Amino acid sequence: MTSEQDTALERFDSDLTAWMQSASAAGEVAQAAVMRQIRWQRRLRLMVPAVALLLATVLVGPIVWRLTVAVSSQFAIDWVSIADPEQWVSTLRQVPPLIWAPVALTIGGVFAGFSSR
Amino acid sequence: MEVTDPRAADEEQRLIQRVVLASDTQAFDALTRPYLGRLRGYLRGLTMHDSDADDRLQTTLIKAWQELHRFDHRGRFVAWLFRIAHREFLQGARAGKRYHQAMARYDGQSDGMSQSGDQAAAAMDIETILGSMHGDSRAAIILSRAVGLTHAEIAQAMDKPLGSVKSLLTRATQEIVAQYG
Repeated sequence: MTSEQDTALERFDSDLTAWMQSASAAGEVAQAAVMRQIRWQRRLRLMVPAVALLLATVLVGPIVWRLTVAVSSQFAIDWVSIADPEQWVSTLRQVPPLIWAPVALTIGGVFAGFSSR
Repeated sequence: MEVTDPRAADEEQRLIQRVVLASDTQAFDALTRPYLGRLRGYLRGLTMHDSDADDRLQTTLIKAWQELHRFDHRGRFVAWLFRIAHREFLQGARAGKRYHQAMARYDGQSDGMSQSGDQAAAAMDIETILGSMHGDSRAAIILSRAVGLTHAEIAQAMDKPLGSVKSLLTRATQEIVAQYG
């Protein structure tokens, strides 16, 4: 390679390096946006199952509990009573503390999702 | 943290493990931050368009986050990252509405979007010189001289045979010498 070529390439390298460095600020902005997106994806990944578990516990739990009670006592299932909204509160009150453990786990999962890095 | 010595390479390895095993976003931030400027510059060089480069940079980083567990540690992380960037550029250009514009710019056919009047007037402007090259030559010369990849790494990044990369670099060098000479 001749000295003329060397000089040309040195000048090109210098210009190219400066040009690449000028792009750094835009790169930081893009990365910040990506990191926000990734963190939200992680939070959602933790929260979606937690919310699903919460809904399942609140909606299905009392039915399962009442069905269990009904089956265990004379195998007489009172579907009207189970479906009656007014019965839900009293039914929920009858649910033993152990059943609420998944609810606590769910709340913990949501909290973990929000506080994750 | 630029990987130029074994200690830095170990640190990079540790960050990769933290991302893969614990989905640690802070580790990913630290892992990719040293390469952001060159990644953005490379994509700007490929697209010759600022917002397209920003879009591709974001998709590159997201893809890197999603696929880091597939990094096999046989080559350097920087080469793997630029391979994703090149692939994301090609896929993005094919999928985008501005495909023809993007590929025309990649093929070195300026559509007037990337050059201001000052740039056109400045014969030695770096963007003018890069813009006059074919996209493959431009990609190869940026990866070689600004990113510091070896010929083999460039071949991997661009998914081209080694011989083609050498030809592209020779052609690009001739164009540079002709422009600056």
